[in-house]
Amino acid sequence: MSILKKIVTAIRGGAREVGESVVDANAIRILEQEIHDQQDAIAKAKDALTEVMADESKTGRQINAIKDRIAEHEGYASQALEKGDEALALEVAEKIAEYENELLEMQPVYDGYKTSVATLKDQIRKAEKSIQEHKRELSVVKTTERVQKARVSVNSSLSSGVSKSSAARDSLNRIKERQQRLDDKIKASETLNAENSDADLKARLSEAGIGETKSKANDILERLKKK
Amino acid sequence: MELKELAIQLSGYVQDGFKLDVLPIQENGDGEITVLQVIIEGFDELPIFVTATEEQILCVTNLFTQDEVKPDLIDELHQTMLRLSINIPLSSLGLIDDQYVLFGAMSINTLLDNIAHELVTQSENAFESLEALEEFLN
Repeated sequence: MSILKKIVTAIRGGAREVGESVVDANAIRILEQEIHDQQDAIAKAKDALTEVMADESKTGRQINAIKDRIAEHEGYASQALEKGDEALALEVAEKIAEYENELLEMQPVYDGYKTSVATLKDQIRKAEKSIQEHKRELSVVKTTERVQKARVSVNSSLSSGVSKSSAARDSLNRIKERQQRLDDKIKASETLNAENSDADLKARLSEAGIGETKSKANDILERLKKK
Repeated sequence: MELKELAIQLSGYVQDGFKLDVLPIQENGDGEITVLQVIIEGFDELPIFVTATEEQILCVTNLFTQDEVKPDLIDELHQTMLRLSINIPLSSLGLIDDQYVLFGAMSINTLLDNIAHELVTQSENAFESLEALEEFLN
């Protein structure tokens, strides 16, 4: 059964601690062991493959050499016949028969090697595919385990913290309030800035003698003298 | 990147104007860090729990529990979550035991800048998802 299917079965079975029920301590170990075994199997199969491939190529070369010899001797036999030397031709023909017997013996061996190579390659492909599948499953299991861990350790070590004790709505409201306060603060400081720049302008205007001019001591003195 | 390394590098990191706060959590007290709690500035109530496998970095934010959902709306909530999940880039909605979560995963080879960006995005997504699903809650 695939890991995802196991998880769905656990969920439908009403398991609350889905993570734990799927990720028993053994699951990860078994998957890792299987990946390890498959990798071993691949390494061995590859060793065997290189040996068989060497044998295959050696036998192939031998077969070709024999075929060459046969062709060569067939030439000799024809030449002997042309020269009318039937005895010599027969001798050559016997040699050819020897070679052909050798060829007959070697061909099945060569075919055997060829089949072995194909089988080994097939096995390696299968093992690689299975490693890939196990790795994917392991990744699902580990993700499930990690998420579970995050949840469990958070509950046990931070149960006094804000995250657990505050209900969602409270959290939401607190964040909203904080954002509102921040907004208010920004607005307040903007207003303050605006006022400051306003005051600054008034000050510069009054210095230039525009707008409300401040009563100066001299003016007051003048006014008093006029009385 | 290992979780320990990630914790060191992400701590105090500023991404997209948000400061990241990282709390490594040891599960067995054997020094091995199994989970990081990452808080994005301003989203203190929606911490992200970060774990890692050999291949992936997994990010989980708790949204609400099953008993916080209005019982008569639970089927509609599930349908809505399935539909909504498609609209949330790089995060999906899910259920771990009785806890509804926002969940994101990325490659273990993701650059730090991108991890930080994903974490900020996850907090924003979590907040907005919660806001969008508020009417289903008690």
